[in-house]
Amino acid sequence: MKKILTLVMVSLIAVTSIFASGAKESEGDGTITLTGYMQIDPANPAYEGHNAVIEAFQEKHPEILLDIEYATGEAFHQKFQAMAASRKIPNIFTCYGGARTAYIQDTGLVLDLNDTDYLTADFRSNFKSVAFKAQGANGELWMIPPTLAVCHTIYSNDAILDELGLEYPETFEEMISQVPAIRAAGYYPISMGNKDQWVVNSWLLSLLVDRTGGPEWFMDAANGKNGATFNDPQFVKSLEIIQTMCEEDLFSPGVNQMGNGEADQEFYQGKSAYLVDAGWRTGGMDSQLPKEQCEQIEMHVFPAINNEVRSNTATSVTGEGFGIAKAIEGTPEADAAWTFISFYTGVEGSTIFAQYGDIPTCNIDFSNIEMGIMQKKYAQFQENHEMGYVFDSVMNGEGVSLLNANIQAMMMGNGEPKEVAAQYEKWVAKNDTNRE
Amino acid sequence: MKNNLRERKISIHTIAFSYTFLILFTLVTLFPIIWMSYSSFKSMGEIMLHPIGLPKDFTLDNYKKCIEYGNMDYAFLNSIIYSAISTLLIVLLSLQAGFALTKFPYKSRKVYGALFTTGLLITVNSVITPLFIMETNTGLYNTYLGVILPYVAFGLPMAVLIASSYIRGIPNALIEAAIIDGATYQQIFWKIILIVSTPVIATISVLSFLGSWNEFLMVFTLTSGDDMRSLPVTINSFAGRLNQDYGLQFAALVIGTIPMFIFYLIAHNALIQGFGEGALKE
Amino acid sequence: MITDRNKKLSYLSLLLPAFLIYITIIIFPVIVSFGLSFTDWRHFRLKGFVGIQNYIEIFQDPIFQIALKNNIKIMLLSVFGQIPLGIILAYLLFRKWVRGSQFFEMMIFLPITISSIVVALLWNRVFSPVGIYTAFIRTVTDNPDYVVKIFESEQHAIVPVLFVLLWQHTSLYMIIFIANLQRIPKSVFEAATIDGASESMIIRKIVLPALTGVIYTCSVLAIAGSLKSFDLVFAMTGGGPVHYTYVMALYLYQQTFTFNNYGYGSAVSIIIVILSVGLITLFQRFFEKVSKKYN
Repeated sequence: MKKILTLVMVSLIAVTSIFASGAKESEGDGTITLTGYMQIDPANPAYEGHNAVIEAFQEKHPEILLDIEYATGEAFHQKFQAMAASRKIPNIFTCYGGARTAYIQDTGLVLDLNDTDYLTADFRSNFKSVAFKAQGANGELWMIPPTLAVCHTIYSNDAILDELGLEYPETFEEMISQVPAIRAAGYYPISMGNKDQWVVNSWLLSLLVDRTGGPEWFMDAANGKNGATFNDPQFVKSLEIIQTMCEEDLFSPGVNQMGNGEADQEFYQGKSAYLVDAGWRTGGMDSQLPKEQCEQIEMHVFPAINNEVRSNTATSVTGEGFGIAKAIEGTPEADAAWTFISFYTGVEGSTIFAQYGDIPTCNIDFSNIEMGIMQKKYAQFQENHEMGYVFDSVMNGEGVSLLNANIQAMMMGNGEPKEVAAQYEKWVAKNDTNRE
Repeated sequence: MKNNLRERKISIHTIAFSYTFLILFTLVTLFPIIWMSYSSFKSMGEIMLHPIGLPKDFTLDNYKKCIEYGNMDYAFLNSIIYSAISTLLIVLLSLQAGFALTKFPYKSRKVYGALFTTGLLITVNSVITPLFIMETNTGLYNTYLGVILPYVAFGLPMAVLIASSYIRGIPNALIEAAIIDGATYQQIFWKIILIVSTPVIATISVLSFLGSWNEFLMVFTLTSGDDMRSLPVTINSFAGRLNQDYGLQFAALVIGTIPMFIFYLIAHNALIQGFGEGALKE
Repeated sequence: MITDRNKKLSYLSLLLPAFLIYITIIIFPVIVSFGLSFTDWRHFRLKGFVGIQNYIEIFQDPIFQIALKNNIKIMLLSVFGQIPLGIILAYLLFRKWVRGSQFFEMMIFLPITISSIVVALLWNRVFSPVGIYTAFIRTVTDNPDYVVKIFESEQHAIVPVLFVLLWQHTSLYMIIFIANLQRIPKSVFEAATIDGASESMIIRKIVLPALTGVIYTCSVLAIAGSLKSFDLVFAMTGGGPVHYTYVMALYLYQQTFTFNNYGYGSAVSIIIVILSVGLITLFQRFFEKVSKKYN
């Protein structure tokens, strides 16, 4: 009896599973279905912006159906890599400009937009030039970045500063001199959540390198040109600044134990004067904090460093966009994909996004858009500062990973800037594809 | 249990130690769960600013979002399907294999046994990519069977080990008597082994169900549709690297954990019954 | 009547379904991995055979060495911590020395029903610098700079992970032991009681010998599990700070999926398998000697 039951169940499952693998084919009634795979956080406030854009698109283009699957974080890459290995990827998908999605870019699965006739002069005129910066090693353009993400901001809690009679420091030395007063009053100077190790690099080190060395030097060191290497004093100095910040007690005690969300929590609870974070945190601030608190938070960049090569800069990366599968080149699906992408990144999509915390690469008129308090400040911030490179958008992930671990060790007192620099240079010289 | 077993003199130290340890353990276990549960009723802003206290603005928003954004109702159903069916198969197959490996005189059983044991050492990470390619090429991708078969494969090594260990202890006399009475081995399996092994069936079921219920990587990689997701996959989608909505995470975690707890309450009774029956059959 | 041929057929029909599923899904990909481990395959470009180069590099990598040490620590904890604790708890509850043993049994079992990701998340929320525990200690000791220092220690950062593993997994062994304790006929206990045996004599002469087989099985499971350990460490520390809490499975994950060094990653997985086999075999010899002594 049990045996028969089992057999019945197993066969039932087998039968249903054959029918359950819904492979949707395009209906023959003029509608085109686009399959997609996208990396996003359903719980991230910016996701609501994405949802809103999708809705608006479907309204305007009911003849194009979007069948998009979503995934988060590392899991997105794991599955996507498996898909890439079997050469079966959807029509559109999240694609990074840099090496994070090399597994589809370097294996010929992505359509180079430069090879198409989609990028008309008219289209280009709507965007900031950074949107068309070359992404591939041979100048390929894999996707149009819909947003620009600022990766360095120092937020100040002006309520605390006013209470202590301080102002945002103009120089690094001035910032150090504020520490005793801040701590005596029972606050922490800076909150930063470096548990995940990349934070100190993406949101701080990259900026320091931009100040001590500048973008030309950085690209030279990355590519091994003009004799520049990461052993140069510029790089070592940027590491020394971080070490000094630790030695001068600028960070709250849990800097290497807190995730970045927890560092935010510390700052929001009014425990620290400054917060090192990315520019897009403004979206979260608008949705989580009362208006009065937002009015007392200002956005700044790192104060001036002695002998800095550039001043008043921040860093940014272009956000991920949608790539088109090379397999559908020249088909109606590709055109439909482009219709979607130009909507998403163009004026219509961008206007919606701007309300949810992202700064678009498309040129839009902000004055007509309803934005939160912090969001307005973010838009302004972006205009007021020149942007430098972020390490992990240029250098290979494996090397950066090792660098970040060593920086964390240095911050905990287990390493010296010169050694960290030397170890990184050694790895880059041997392994980094930028040096090829 | 009979009284004369309970009335022995147990030292007061032992009892005190036992109570202290157990109570401490219970507190350490319950407290985070309770905290997580009531925090799930807070808005994100409140969690950020007032993490410890009871919710001031009680809200069901997080749960609503879970179901809207995450399709947690589908996920729940799928989790049940994956876990229940793979558990059933694991129990049956492992007991059959255990029987074969311990009560038959063939030399080859050592080889089979060793091969099964090696399975204990393989991580999912190391086979997931070839597995994905295999499934895409055979059409098993994004099907129920495509997840259930790997679950069974990964659950077998431990189950076979536990089953073998137990079945080895079943007296051969029982089997020989049945053979003399004219039973086939299949009959012996269904009518004797299965009945006598109730305690291990309970153990293996609970462990397999658990393992499958909380499993993440395989469902995630081997299925693509919302209609095929399981709970851990959905919960994980609320815990992205840059995500900060702790309220949503907690709500998702509560939804994911409570069913397991209820299952354990139910299975627990089955466990007790299983033990009771098994122990009496001597 | 059962002929020899019938017997053989029965044997195979009982064994093969399980075995075939297992082989296709696990063994076959592992063999593929084995082959891959001798190649240099990074960033999806197969660069050719490199013999045992990958293996040499792995053992020379200080991160791997840390990972290996941590795995050994986990293994020692599992075999010499979780199993004895499991036996003690199982016996305690089996003999009903406390009231409400059913309730406590449920409580001890609860941790393992929660997925490791949840456990890690909860643990982090509680002990992080902005967590409840830290806030509590800060208020009580009036020291605003307090953080749980052990998380940053180079030598001991793995201890919290060990602690949580203990909390989570002891119940696993506990229920296996309870099931097998139930198998000892009650008559044996009664006879011993009537003969006036003390509790420790009962433990030594009746319980432990009866559990020998199970202790062995559980130890094998513990050793295998500890070398595979991934979920909890990944979610709790991600291997950090720096590399102090790395484990081999995490190293494998990072090499294979984050850095796309498939060849190298495959070699790591093979090393894990070989180490496990080696350790289990050693343990088998050790166990045989010890049980011979006591029997």
